[in-house]
Amino acid sequence: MYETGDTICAVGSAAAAQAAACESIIRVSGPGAFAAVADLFSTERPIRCPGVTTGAIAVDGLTLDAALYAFAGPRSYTGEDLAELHFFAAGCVVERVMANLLSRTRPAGPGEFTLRAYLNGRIDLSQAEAVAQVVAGSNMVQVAAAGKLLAGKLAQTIADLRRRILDLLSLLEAGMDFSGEDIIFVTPQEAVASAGHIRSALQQVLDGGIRYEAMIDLPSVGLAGASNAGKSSLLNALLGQHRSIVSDERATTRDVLTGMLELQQCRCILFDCAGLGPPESSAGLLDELGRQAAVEAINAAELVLFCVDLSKDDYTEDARIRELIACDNVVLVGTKADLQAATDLPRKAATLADALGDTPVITSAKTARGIDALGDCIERMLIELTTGAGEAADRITINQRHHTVVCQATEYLDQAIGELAGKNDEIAAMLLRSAYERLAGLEKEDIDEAILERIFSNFCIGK
Amino acid sequence: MNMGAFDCIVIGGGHAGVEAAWAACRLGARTLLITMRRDTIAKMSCNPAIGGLAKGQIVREIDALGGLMGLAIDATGIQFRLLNRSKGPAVQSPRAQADKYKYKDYIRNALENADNLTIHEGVAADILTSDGAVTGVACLDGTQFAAPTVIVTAGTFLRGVMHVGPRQWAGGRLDEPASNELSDSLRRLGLTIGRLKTGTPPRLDAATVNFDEVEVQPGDDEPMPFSFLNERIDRPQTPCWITWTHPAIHDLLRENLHRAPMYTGQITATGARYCPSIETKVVRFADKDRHQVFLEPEDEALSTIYCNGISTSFPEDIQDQMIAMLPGTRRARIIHYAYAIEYDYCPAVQLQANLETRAVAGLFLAGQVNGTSGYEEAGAQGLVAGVNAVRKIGGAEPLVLGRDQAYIGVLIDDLRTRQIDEPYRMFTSRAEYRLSLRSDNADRRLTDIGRSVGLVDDTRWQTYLHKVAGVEQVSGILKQVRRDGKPLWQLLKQPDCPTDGILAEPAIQMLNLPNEVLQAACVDAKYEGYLVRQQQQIAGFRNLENIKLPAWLDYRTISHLRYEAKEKLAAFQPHTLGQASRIGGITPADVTVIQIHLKKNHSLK
Repeated sequence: MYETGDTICAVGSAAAAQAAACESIIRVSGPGAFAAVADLFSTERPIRCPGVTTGAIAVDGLTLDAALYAFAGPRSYTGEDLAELHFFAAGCVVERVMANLLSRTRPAGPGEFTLRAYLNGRIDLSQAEAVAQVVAGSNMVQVAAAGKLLAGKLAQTIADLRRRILDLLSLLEAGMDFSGEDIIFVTPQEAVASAGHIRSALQQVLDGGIRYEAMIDLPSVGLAGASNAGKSSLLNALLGQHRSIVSDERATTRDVLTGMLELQQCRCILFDCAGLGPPESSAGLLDELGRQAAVEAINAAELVLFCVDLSKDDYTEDARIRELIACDNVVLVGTKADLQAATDLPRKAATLADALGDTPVITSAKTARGIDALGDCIERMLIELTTGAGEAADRITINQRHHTVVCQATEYLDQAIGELAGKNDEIAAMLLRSAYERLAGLEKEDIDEAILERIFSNFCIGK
Repeated sequence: MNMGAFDCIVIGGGHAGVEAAWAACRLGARTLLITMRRDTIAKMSCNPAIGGLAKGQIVREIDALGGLMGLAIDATGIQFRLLNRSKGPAVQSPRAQADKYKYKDYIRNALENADNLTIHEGVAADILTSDGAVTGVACLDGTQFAAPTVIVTAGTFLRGVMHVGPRQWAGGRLDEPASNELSDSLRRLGLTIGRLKTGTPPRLDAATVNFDEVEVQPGDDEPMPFSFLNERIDRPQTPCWITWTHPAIHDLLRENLHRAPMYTGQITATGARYCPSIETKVVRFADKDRHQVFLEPEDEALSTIYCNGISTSFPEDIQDQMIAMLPGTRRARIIHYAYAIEYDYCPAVQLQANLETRAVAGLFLAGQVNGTSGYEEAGAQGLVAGVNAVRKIGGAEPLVLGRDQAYIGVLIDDLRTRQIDEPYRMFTSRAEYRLSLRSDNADRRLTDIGRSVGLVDDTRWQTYLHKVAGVEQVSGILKQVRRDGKPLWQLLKQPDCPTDGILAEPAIQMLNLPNEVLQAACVDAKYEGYLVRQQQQIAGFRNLENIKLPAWLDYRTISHLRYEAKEKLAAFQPHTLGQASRIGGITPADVTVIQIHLKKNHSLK
């Protein structure tokens, strides 16, 4: 159920990104589209509309070259004012840009841009049918994802907080709807204290667990390793398509390259970045920037595939680079197995295991050896991570959307506490409901029934 | 035997029926009210009171729209109280004890003196139809009346079965027969029928109650009227009394549970959680050592007492023992024993937003027959059904109140989108726009709607315009006059600002306006910030609410809609996209798929 009068934004779809392999696109549509991008984008040229203007975006002190594509409604894809920011940056930077835009817009739902295009008469029937399919499809994914998230630590924490809000709300509502009973449901002091506890628990979520994922909602898996360790070829093999520019010269991948990896039960963002080797004396500034972006992106990943070229004789450099990686979840991958004689492989694998202290998954991008096994391994680890098994269980991962939601809920709690102290329970109840709804999941719930159920099961009410 | 033709026939003279008949005849429709007995019109079958939390707001809404209930209780109430006085204005509700005999006399008189209205004593037995549309009603004695619209407000009479202990018999109410034929008629017309249960406590001879032994609960010093037409109530007030059960009574009831139909399996229908019988209370809340019992007078002359809080299905001897153990009633004589009643109802998901059945054109259902509980909920539906029956005849757009406009809107929307498993009663917590849906502003929400529909006469309209002008005048002063450098209007927004101090301002006192007007302006100021926020939510809500879902829409043929969503939507047949979104299990993506489907079909046509 989408509203159609507001401004929405989203990271450009994979299909659009494919045209320019490592380009990020953020699309904003609606009456506030131009105002929202104007805050981020600066240029010395006059802005062309419709058209492209080059300039820069500044976010968190970082300045990036960018291009602004501006189209005024109704002559745009969506039929509304439409702005697109195109730029090259690591996933986590994209997330920051999004975060900035989300203070003025709301994240678009699946198929929502196309829905607007259709409702505004910009695309035809057959295209609209396709949209319905996309929306229906993502609904399934959403329901599945919501289920998966439900098992996770963040979901547990949020569910617990929502339960506590509902408990407090029930007591307040009972006090208003059943004041004729000989029961004091909650005193003003208790209500303020209880709201205060919920508020600080929300604050803990914000303080303790902020962590950006490389792409909105999906877990990210990074490929890391020395230059020319075969990362790009492995990425292509995993994705089953040619994504990044692969060459035999070292250090050919400068920026972060991404693609979406569809596994059996889940999806993730797979990205490949510049080699993590020590900067060479001949390396230019661009190489250094690329290296920094790579380290940042890798350390933000859920899971890292650490790639080592099996055909090398000495793994000392790889062991040193391995130490640069702060991510807790690393899979060791031996690449280019096709360059080894089959008889040599076990010995090579053992040497690698000794050097890195881990058993490698042996792969070859060329012969596809071990690619499926690696996919299974990624999936197993991601599921373990999201369902809270293993060491990561205690860490709450929270993406930008969660962060926004928790911040808003915290604000509502703050206001509610003020109103409870002033004995305005009816206003406090409205604010608590807003907080509860902000923290809600995908499915609409019947909150009134939940409140009444709590009241009737806990108190003897009625005449 | 055809006895005449009408525009609208109302079956049942309860609280839904009288509002329906009143609305229909006042809109100029030739109206017939069929009731079993003229002297039971508007009878209070259960508690002798009108209003209460959330219900008081509904009565104010009925009044603002031009209904009868508010005027009747103002004229016949014997104790008035504003509930939740210590809480915010949005949750304050008026409640009054009625002299139940005068109350029904007042209403019967109003109906007997109304133009266009005929009252017929008889038992309606069959809804006559032709080609899926209503043509009239046949009574048990063979009498027939013709009309293109019929409103069924049968209350608890449809296949009613009453229980007192192991004894059970067919009946619609104390000393009145059930209506099995009408229930069968509705079934034949294709309506789905469900079963609910309710109960009522014993009535005592007031002369045998020792009021010295119990606590007195007086009415308000300044009674607040229900009707916007009345400025004050000047009659003396009668008190109520409170007594408490104790562990010995609880032991008696627990030891005799095998004789309570609620626990023997004799009653299978679902009762309401908010209205538990005394046996349910002592079983479910065994650790509670006392339960409140309100002793409420049923008339000004104090002839009978209603024991609010001990409705039960126990046999007579247990009821006698219980009353004999209750402080204040030890020597009291029971005049009417408590009973439980099971009855048929028609789940309201079968209705359109105008309360007309989807199965039969021109057939409207209102009140308890739709699964609700309470005179106020019934009256509200009656009024809406009465108006809509007449509007259907005239080909006018139906009167459909939104959830953001009235509790009546919340009520009807809930009934149509929820699977209920107990009699539905209104609570303020059911209204998401509660801060807007107040008792003080019911006229400002609804009187112009009532006017445009045709129910609000000139007197009411002038009173209303006068009040609105007064509120504006006061608001103007509140915004102008400053105290400590701040406008009074701003001061009122502070959580703990006492309104009395603000209203003492000489410029306001000089206006010499009724207190009601002054308070209304203060409430506006207090909630303004939140109401603005709520207005934004309402605007978003209205977007979806304005997208009507045509009746011909076949959800099963919408490609890409999930199976569960198809089933749910086909069962509930929502009127608008907003309503669809509120059905449990419908996801935002489902709504989007429907939106696309609608647009697609629209462009094909």
